Amino acid sequence: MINIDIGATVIAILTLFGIYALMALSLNLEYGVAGVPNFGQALFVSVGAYVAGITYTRLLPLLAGQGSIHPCGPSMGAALQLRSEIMAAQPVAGFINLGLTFVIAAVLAGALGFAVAYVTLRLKEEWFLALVLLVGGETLRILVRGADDLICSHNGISGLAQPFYFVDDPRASALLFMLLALCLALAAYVYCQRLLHSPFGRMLKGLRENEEVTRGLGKGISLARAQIMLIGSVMAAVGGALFALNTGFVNANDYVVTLTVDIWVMVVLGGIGNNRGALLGALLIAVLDRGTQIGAIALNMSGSPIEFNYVRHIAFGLILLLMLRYRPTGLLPEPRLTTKAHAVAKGFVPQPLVPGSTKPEARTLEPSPSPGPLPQGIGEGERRASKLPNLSAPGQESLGKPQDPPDASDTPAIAMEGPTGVAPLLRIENMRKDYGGLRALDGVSLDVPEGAIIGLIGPNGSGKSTLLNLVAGAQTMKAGRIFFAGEDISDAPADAAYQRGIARGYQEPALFNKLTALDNLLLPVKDQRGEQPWRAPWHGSWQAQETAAAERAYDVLRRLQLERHYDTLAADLSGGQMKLLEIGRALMGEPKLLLLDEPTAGVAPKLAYEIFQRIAGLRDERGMAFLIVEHRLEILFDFVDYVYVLHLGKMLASGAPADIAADATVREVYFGD
Amino acid sequence: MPPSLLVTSLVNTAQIGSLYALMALGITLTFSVVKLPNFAHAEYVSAGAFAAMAASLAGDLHPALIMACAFAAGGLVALVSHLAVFKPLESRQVSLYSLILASFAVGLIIRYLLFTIADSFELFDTRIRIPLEIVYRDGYLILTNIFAWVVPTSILLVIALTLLLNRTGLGREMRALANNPSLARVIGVRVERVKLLTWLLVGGLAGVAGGLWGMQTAVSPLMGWTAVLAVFAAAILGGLSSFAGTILGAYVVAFCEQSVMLFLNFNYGVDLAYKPAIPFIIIIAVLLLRPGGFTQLLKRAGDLGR
Repeated sequence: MINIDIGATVIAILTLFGIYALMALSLNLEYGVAGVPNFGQALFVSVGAYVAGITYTRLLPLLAGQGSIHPCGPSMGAALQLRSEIMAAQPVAGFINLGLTFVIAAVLAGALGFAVAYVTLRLKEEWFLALVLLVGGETLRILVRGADDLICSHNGISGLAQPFYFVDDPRASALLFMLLALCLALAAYVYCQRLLHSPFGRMLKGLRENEEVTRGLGKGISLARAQIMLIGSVMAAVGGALFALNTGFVNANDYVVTLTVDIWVMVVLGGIGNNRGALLGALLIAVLDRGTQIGAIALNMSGSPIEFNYVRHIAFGLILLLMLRYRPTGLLPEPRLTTKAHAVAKGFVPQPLVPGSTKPEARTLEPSPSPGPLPQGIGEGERRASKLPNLSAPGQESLGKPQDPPDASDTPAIAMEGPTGVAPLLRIENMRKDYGGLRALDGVSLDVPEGAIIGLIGPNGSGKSTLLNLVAGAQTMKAGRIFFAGEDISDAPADAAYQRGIARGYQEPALFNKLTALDNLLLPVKDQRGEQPWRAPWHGSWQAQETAAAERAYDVLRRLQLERHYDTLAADLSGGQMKLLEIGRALMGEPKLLLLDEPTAGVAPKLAYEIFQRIAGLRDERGMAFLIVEHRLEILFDFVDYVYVLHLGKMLASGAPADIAADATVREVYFGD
Repeated sequence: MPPSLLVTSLVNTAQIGSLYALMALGITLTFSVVKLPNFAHAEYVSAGAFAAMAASLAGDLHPALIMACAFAAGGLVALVSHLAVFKPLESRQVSLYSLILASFAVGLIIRYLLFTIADSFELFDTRIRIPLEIVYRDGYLILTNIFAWVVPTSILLVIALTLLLNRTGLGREMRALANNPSLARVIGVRVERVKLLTWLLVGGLAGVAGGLWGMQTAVSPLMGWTAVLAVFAAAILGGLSSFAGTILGAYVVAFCEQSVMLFLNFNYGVDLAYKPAIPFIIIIAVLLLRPGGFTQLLKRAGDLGR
């Protein structure tokens, strides 16, 4: 029978818990929040451990005013003796050394994490990132071989004393070190929590859920990923330094692979994306670790031939598999993200209106005053259509079969002003796009004047969505030019197009399902201070901006009659509400032009009609222009000013809705008459 | 560098490259057909090596029979990992990272089960018992009976696999599944059956590679894991989608590890201990600079099976 000192065991478990918590919080931040699969976590941990090893053998004797003894080879014993003497007699030197260890480890690991993330952004497939990080972790073994002199190669450095070694009572000394580890873990936890519930956390969650859409909303994803790797690596390195001091030695063979797996087990077990889950996972593994050590001693004493360490690894593998299969969310599922903005929005709920926005509100909130929308819609349409022929694509009559656009269409921006003197907001000239051998768009030109609602119709496969993608910068075209507000934006990528004022909705609503309706609207707000990681944890620096944005978002929600759902997760909204919310999200960037791809697909007719009413309302209030792809012509024709018809990648016809509806050619290809 | 060393290193390149080819083809096949970068693949190699060793210790078996045992063991372990882990996870449509993580866990479990077995039966650092003979000697060129086993067996297996993929119905179904899974399902490819056979084949080949490998070095539960990144380097160098590219990749990685390393060691004093850095450099360089690997160069060979 073995004697277990319960007090010492608890202290040992809690110390280990503090160290593991730092590592688990770090991985949770990287993978759980930002979606970076760090399979090389051991590398960053060992940066901290080796820095500790080097500072304690080289720096500490200098700080204590003594000459250093080479830590490896024959002088190893003497060097060890010297270290323990210094740590016992000169605590101040020990603490200065500890502080420097943390600083050096944090700088090195942070730079490494930032560099790795930045270099790997160009990778073609997402799992390549996992492989590169795995390779990064494994390089450690090789680096160690080359650094024989510095870190004694595979023998490692032993005899690292923890900073409270000078305290005579070993239990008090262990207790103090435990408190140090727990304090650091607590600080890391508070920091992670604040980061998660800030605009920065919101952006990272958006990034994890849908990278393409987040980029389309003008967010600099690359930088955010690199920043999170920097922060995560710093935490891992501090954990690694403590780990080395706790075990008393540094040896690469202990860290690689198995430690990485251990940290993944903590995060998967506790709950991916949940900081409390990371803490729980760290605690459980610390208990298990200590338990297996005791178990191993018991097992060896009982004469069993099985190495307990093997059983531990097999058990960890099984835990991972069982969790992934039966409880992929972990013991503590990911919490709902509620940023500070929700408190702001909550304040609005009882009040029907916010002062200052009363007048336009009243108009949009009430149902359309004329019961029959046709007179208003057509009247509007005709009024605008009357000045449109001048603005329509060059070389095209208002209603006729398009000729091949002449080369003369390659006109400078000044010539875009038609006889009326009004330049179109968006002008597409001769747009061409191939998918392999298939020509999706073949010399298409169209104009969207300011404040106009333009319909783009055509049978399936005629190239409508492709056209929207090209304008939004999500794809690149083969030939042609795009002018927006007089500027050539033909080569602008998605985030640049968004910054200039082109927002878009998607055919399938591409909302951030795990964010609330309010956060879906707040994510696209430009230039948020709280999206900078060094400001994010301190509310004071971004609270005012967030409040203003939340007021604006709430205003948009109310305009779309979604205000009661501000706190609902996007995934829980109805199909029509999702469509509306997507329009609202596009509005938050205050675009000049909104591209919508079938805004009423899959929505009940009544709601579809309402969606268009709200679009018309937005045009009237804000003077925004719309380019709308839609199959519900009966509704579309009531609201649009002008219609373009695409067929097999070419512009078949264009004109006022009434004329298009009557055009024989259009009817033939579209309606099958 | 003396010519004797050069010749020896080239012989080693042929030998190691053949083994890498067997393993890397499995990774390419799993990635194409099952859409999984399987990090447990290396453990099928170890499992095959242990099975071959057990068979060779059990009695005086013909080497072909020993290899059959290795194939069976590797294939069985691969099938079990598919049925018990990957298939249920895929049907839950978990993310790719979850599948990769699961493959790490499967690898961990197999590796330490082998450790437990090796520990219990005191099988550490045992070689597969085949008497070493020199079968050919001409100047610096010395070929052992192990070389005579490893290289032709690997080449024959690669040819057999290529024929299987290009000339049989199963091969056609596998290629269809690699090319377009949803379309393959629609046109009546028996997806589950094809996947099962793919796993069996992939695991079996890895097992044979382990058996052949165990003839030249000591069998250890870690042997698969130490090679896994070299094998991934070969598959990635090959572009992860073509057979020709993968085989070429395998020999290039082996050549760099054997001959280039020796050259650097002789002329520039680079420590041979840095040998494992070669696959790392290859992986990072290919992924960052030329993610298509050799497949881009061999455009016509871009189709799985060629």
